[in-house]
Amino acid sequence: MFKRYVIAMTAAAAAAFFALTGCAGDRSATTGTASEAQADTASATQLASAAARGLELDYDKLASPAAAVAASELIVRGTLVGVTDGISYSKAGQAGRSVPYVTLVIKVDSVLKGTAAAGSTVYAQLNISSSADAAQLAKAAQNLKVVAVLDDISGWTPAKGVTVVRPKGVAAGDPLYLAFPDGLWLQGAADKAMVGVHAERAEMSSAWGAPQTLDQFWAALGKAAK
Amino acid sequence: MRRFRIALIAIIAAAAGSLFLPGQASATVYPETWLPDSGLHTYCFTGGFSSSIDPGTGTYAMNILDSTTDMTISNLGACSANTTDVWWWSLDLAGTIRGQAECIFWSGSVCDSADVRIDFAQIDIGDNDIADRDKTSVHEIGHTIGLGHHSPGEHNCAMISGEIPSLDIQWRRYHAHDISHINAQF
Repeated sequence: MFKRYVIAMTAAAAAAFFALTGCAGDRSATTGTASEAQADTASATQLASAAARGLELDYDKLASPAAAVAASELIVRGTLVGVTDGISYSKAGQAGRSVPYVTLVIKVDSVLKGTAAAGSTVYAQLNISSSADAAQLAKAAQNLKVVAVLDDISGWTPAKGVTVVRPKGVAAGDPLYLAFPDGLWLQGAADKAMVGVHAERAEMSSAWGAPQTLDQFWAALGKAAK
Repeated sequence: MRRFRIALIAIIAAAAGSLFLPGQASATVYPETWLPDSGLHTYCFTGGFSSSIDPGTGTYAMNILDSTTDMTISNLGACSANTTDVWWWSLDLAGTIRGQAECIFWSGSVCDSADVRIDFAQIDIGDNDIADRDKTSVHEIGHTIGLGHHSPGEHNCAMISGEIPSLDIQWRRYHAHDISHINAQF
């Protein structure tokens, strides 16, 4: 009887502890260490936290899978095979202040919408923190699976008189794709759940059906695309 | 044995209370983003923001910070110094982004100077444009003082993502819980 009480009390104390520590972001549920990521147990949390350190976005959400399909030009699933320099601008930012991007290099496994083929490579722009760079993110990107809902931002410019300079790999005339903040989800072997760089699963509208994994996210999009 | 039973009941009650009482259920860690370098939040307007369609929203957000928390503000005019806590920008941000806050210059773990970038065209999609701009501006300043995103129902305040659900003033203010965190810090 005493033992049963001790177990019950320990469980209750643990429950109290976790409840009292508040609502930490759901990224903490998939935390992995650097050594784990290096040992073929890749985790997307490292990439996400490095890319978004000190950068917070407020964005209009993709309200549902159907809305994501309607708003996007390309939806792919694949493997992240690299992170390289992203778009830059004809005019440098004032006093070293700019809005930096990297290019996510995605080897495509499946296409849900748009012009791309399985086995091809898709380049997607991602807004990142000024404290991150492509080389740093490339190390953290190894062996990550990805689903990307992409917007074509060809012709976009951040301000009057500023020209967007395309990165290598994106030829003039090709679409210039940008990942929707809540349309880019990553998952490594060590991750129990998919991880967003700028979005958190808890922020997705109920119309998404609370997907926890890339498989579930992809399935929701696939159902809407039919 | 009776003592154990009482202790067990007390612990379970504490756990249940922390889960279901409104004050505790909406508890958040602080800071969720980063801390500024002091309780004085200096700010400036870039040329693009000053000539934008609504620079008043920047003034509004700074005044809300000043009037609803223990933090203070100081308008330094046109942006020039990288020690100014907040540089306000008006930009066309790519895609569906309404606004951004980013710490540009760090001093250890605290932020010396941050950018707040507002995309008026994206914000003005939908209804309630003026209030929506003010919500976004208050929201981005919230990031520069340690606040993260709060889901509706968790904290009904300016830190929700996206368009405001209504003209209710709560969507342009910080939640009392957040203010208690800020005032405890500064």
